[in-house]
Amino acid sequence: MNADVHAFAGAYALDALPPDEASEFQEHLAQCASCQAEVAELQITATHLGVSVAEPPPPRIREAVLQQVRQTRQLPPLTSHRDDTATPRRARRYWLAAAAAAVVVAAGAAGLTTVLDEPADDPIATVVAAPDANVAVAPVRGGGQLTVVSSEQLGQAVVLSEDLPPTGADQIYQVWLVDPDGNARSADVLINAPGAADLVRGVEPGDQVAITREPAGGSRQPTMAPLAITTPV
Amino acid sequence: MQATARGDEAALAGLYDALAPAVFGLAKRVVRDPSRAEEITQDVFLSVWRFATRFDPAKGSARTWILTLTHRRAVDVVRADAAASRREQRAGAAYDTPYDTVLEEASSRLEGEQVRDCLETLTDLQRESVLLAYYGGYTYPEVSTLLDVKLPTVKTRMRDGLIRLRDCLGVSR
Repeated sequence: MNADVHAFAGAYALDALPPDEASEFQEHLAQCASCQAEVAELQITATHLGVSVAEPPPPRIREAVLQQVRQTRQLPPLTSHRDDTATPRRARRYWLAAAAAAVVVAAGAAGLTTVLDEPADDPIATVVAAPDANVAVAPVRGGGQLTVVSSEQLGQAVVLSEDLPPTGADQIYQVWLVDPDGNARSADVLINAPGAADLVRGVEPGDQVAITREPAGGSRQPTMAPLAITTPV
Repeated sequence: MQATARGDEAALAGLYDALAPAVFGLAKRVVRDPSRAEEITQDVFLSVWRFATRFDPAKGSARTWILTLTHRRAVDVVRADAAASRREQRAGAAYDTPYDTVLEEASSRLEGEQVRDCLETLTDLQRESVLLAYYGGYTYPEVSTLLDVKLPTVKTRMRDGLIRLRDCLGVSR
């Protein structure tokens, strides 16, 4: 990043940096207290622009939100020590949840804590703690949710599925990477346990992450339209 | 917000009542499609619910957090659409909205009188750069093309403009 890095603060607070420069600026931000203070103030300033165009949404949206809230579990709070008795899967879920929060912060929300222990050698933790980690969420047709944390630098993503309906013994959920031309390639991830977090390698910029239901053992190409597909990573 | 973090659905409803108009209005301004703005509003408040446990009031207000989430989500939506339409059309610029429309409506419909007054203290270039980025959802290179101004200049005007707006509004942490 060049010498006039501070000039990026305005564009950053307006979400106007292209992705590569945004992650570059975030790296700088992590080490620059005066930049953090400036960005925080400029974000509050930008918020005034948002509030000044307020307009009530239709009343049914309130009902829809409260209905969804009743059916949605909150993330556990971050704690200051790691639970040594956690199973690997529990630990992974901890990391993913922490990462999702961290990404929101990196994305510019100043209000969240970013208590992240240094990842040891857990590849999932490495992705979710990457400075350019980005999070995408997509609802799954038929129920559940797909959450993807990706790092362009690492070319890797972590895929978390939540609350997917059971498939039965002869089927599994399969994860795909879909390139900008719409070609799907298997991410070599078959989901057979609900709530699993899995690492995907070989992620290219612009890929979308999708899941389908496939015969047990997986397919070479998807046999159905995606049940969920994220925005491009 | 703290009550929301402890799973109090009524507290979330209170946050919704206080901030949903700002969330919906901002989302609609950026994406311009009321039904997409409704989806964003739902997504944002569901995220607020899920992430409330990680919210630290020492680091900023709930309002700033929620509006920042909203803007980011809305910008993601318009940029994904722009990328999709670029792929479809395979030819050059594919902006749905002429930028002068963005500017006109932004200035004519601004509800906060103070914000409107303060925007008038900015130079034209500062104001256009800030509003095209914030309400138009454009990146600074896109703004540079739209305004036919050099990249570093746009970047600097965005910062200068926001700083002037900050001082006029009396924003401090």
